[in-house]
Amino acid sequence: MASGILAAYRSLQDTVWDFKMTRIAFVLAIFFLIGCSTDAVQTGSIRLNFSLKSSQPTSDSLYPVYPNPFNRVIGDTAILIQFAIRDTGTANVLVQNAFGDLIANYYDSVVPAGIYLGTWYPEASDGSRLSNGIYYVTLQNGAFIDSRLVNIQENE
Amino acid sequence: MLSGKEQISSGILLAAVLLLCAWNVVYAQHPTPLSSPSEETATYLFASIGGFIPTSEGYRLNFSNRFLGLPIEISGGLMVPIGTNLFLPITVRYDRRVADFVTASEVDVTSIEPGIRYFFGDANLKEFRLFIEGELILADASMTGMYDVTGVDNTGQVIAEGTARTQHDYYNVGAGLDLGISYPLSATTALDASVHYAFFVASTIASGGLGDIGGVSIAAGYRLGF
Repeated sequence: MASGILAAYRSLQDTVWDFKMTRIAFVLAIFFLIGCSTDAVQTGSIRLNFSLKSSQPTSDSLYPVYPNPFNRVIGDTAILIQFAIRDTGTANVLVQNAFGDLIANYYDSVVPAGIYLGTWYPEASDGSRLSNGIYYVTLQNGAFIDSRLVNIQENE
Repeated sequence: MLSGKEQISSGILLAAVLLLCAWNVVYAQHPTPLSSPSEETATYLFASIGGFIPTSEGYRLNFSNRFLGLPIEISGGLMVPIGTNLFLPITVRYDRRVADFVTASEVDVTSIEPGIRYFFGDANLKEFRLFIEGELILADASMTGMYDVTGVDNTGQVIAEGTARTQHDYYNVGAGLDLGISYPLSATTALDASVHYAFFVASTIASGGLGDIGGVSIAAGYRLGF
């Protein structure tokens, strides 16, 4: 009799344990899904345009952007990006946020040698102004890669 | 070097293995109660070292953990007993991540995590014990980097006037869940291993924030009671 009660008690205990473990696994799964759902969603980037400024660069280069820091309160409206390609080749200019998500870009597979000038308006793809913070401009030209940090102090 | 998806899969697999091990240990062992009940009534100081895998793809792929040259995060805190098997821990976690896609940029995440921890079963000397913990997380992600301060000269040419360091703080709120096992070494000391999962809901990218800087941490630590 006593052993039967003990066996039943242990069985009940096992069931309770199973229930607890199932709940733990369920809660973990829910947490994971919630976390994934709040992940960054990239909705598209803005196309940048560049024009040839000079045709005699001596090396590949991404020049410092202007103005930096950017401050709309004192009249800044756009950021000038300038780069040089010494030999004809590809040019990929990326504007990324602090986590490296793409905000704006320029890509051309055949770019003649020269110094190029472009303008970036610090806006999102929906036209809203980007928030204050850290952004990056990167030039990729074959094996050449260089980046510049853009400090947007006031854009709101 | 594991890819991001492989790292996440490994983390989940490890969590599952940890869970199964703890479950098995709880079933397989015949409990031998601690000679002293202080395991349940002591206040503990704890410290741990772990690895961190962010859930955000950009954060995961473009940044790497670097603390004193090692790919680790650190945490520590205090744990106060409030009832049978129940404790109130407050954890301070620090994670330094360096940008891989640019130079001289990093993000330092410091979080304060008040929570509640529940231990399953009785405390037995040198026997594993499962615990679960939930936390509220308040975090400051401090992003720093160097940039060229620029102006224009008399001819209208853009010139670099020098370099400056910039810092932006992104405050965030989130929640965390820990699942772990504890191994009491004595009445007032123990080794803990846990899988910590955190997610953040404030500071969204749409509002100019960093988005979800949470992820999975797998950590091991030491606990000292007094």
